[in-house]
Amino acid sequence: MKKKGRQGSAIVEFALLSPFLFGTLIGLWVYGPQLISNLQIVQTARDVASMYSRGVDFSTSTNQAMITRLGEQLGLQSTGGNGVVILSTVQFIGPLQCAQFSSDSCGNSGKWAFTNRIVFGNTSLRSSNLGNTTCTLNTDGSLNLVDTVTNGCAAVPNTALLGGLGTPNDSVNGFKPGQDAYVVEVAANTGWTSAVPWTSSVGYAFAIF
Amino acid sequence: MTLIASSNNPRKGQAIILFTLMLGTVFVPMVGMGIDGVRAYLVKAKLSTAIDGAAIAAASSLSSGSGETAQAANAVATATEVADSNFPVGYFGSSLQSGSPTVCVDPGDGSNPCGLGTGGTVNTYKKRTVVITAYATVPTLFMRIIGYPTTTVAATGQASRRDVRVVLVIDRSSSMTSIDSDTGNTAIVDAVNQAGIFVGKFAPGRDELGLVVMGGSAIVAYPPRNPANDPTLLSSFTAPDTNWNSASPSLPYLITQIKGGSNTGTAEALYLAYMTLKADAATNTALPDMLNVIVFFTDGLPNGITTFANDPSGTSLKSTSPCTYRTSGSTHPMKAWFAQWNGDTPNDSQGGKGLFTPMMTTQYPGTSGNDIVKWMQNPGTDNNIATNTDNCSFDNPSSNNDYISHDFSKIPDQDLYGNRTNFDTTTTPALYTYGTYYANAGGIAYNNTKINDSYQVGLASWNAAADQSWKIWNNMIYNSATRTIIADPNPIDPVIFTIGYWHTSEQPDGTLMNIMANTTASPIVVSTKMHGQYFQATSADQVNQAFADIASEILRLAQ
Repeated sequence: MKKKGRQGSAIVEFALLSPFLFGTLIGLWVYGPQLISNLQIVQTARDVASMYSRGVDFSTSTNQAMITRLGEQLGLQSTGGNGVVILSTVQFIGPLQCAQFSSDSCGNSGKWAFTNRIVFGNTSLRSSNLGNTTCTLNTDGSLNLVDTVTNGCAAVPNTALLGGLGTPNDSVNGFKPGQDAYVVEVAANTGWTSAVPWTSSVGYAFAIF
Repeated sequence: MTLIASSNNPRKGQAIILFTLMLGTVFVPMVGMGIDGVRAYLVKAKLSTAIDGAAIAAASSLSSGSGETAQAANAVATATEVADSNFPVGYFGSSLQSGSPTVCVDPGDGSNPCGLGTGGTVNTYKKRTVVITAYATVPTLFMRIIGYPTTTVAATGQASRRDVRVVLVIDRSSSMTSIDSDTGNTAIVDAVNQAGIFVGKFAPGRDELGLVVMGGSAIVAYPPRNPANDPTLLSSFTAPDTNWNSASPSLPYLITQIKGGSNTGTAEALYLAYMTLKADAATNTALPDMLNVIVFFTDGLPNGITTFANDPSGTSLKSTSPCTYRTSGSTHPMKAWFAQWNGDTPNDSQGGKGLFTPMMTTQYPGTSGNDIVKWMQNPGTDNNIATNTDNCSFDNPSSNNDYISHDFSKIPDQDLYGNRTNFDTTTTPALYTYGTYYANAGGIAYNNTKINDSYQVGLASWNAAADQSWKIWNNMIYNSATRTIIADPNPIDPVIFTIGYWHTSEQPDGTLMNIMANTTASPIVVSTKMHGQYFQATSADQVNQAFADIASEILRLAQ
């Protein structure tokens, strides 16, 4: 009887505490890896942006391999894999840029436009927050400058990501028309994707240099 | 039993009490450090991204503005914008302390305003550094339970921009007057527009710019040359300066005044650009800290050279010529240029015609003082027959395009600046054998006695340009006093970008462009020197692209 009573109270105590304990443990189990993956995604975006803004050509497989090694734990690969890297160089088209092609109508005047776009990895995982360009890209991912300035196919469809840069103006201090903004977006599956599918989600980070 | 029972009863709930105690002392701090720590680290990573991006964009923004103060203000504004763009409001509930990062620009003058340690003995002259610091407050989820509602993370970033010295060379030869099909403008109008936009990307007050304009003869347009000076002497040159945007006439204005006409004196233009770039190399201790660049735009093959017709050490004059070699003490060296005329067909009789007055040593007719604008506006004026001095009589009254065979028995062995017309670095093959002229002619060798053969004049002009390139990349310089090629006592390592614009039947020679730029495609590449780039453009749009890419590359290299 006594023994039974003590056993019973332990079970009750455990029952009372277990939701909190297991909840916390499951939370740690789910949330922890996601946080760590997100941290890796942010760090990868930062590292890629730092190199991209300094002119590293990520259209080459050698330089892509550098990033896939960097993001190995995220499962980044040059093709397919568990993540995607989207690199965009954009600039705001102002009067001076239009003057470069004075004989053409300046279709992108007053707009953000792509000058370079490179995507590698699992391209179906997530699309760019900037949207895509339908212009023909050169092998290094660059657009012809005439397209950037005049052709609507180069206009950035969604500029919300660039909102912090305001509307660049040659006569106002700040980001200028014609100045390249290097935007790197990295997305990857986070959490225990294979073991517990419901814990997975696609983490995303961007960096603007 | 009651006693036993009562002695056992207090154990009931012990686990809950212990757990409650552990909750505050062990469990929450442990979980809190895990979850809140990673969250804070995540915010720090994001903040570091924002600050790194802001620093790089701000350093790039140091190019914009009319002067140093305006450029610094622009950099500060850009840094704030880019930091804000990267760091979303409320990222994991965090916020930037003071609302924005602290941005400091070190002008590199030793004043050390940002605490980089650049005062005293640290010399950062010719380099500006943007230093950005930001703090973010991150609310905690678990740690707040034990009295830590927020934590603070910090990030610091910095990026530098070296001042650059750029000499821009623009070919305004007559082929530049043809119409660009994609713009409807003449090629020179398009090139002038692009060059204007190109120079607008540099920072007045900090970056140093120069301008060389090339026809059959070339001229240093900015800083303005003095026609009384001897261009074979380095001491005659003035280095590019930071006042190019405010000088009168300014460099951007001079560019707008360039009109097309005349021939293509590539060797002289490259020589003048290089001499201008290194004019103060012996005394300017800051030069090695700068990025020294030549941007060379041309639309054709070299077809003219500037000579020292009565060079005392020369052997080119005919015995029948009234011209005599310059004697010691004579003040009349015959510095004049000649070129091929009407194409480059081998064995024709359209060869070397001249000799004409070089712009470098000639005051524009009818002017005094600064005559550069006139030279920009009137390219044909450099086709004036050189005046009759020291008994040299190149002036044939019956023709304005006198054949040099009137006085020369052969094409001179070197031009006015010591560029050899038949130079080879290793005896065989001669440099010219790498060129388009030679290939198109099916390998006809250079023969300097075929003085009326336009092809041979082309080979000589090509070789002189290649030799000037070779000298640059091998730290050699012409000593006009001894008329020898010597080791350069103050070499600089420039970066040369070349643009070859192919818009007429004549295609610029990619090999020569690569030799000039010392790219890895050059047959005489010097691997220890900086490699530039060669851009081939086949439309006005591609010329625009090339100028934009070069500006981008220069400013990237400057970081």
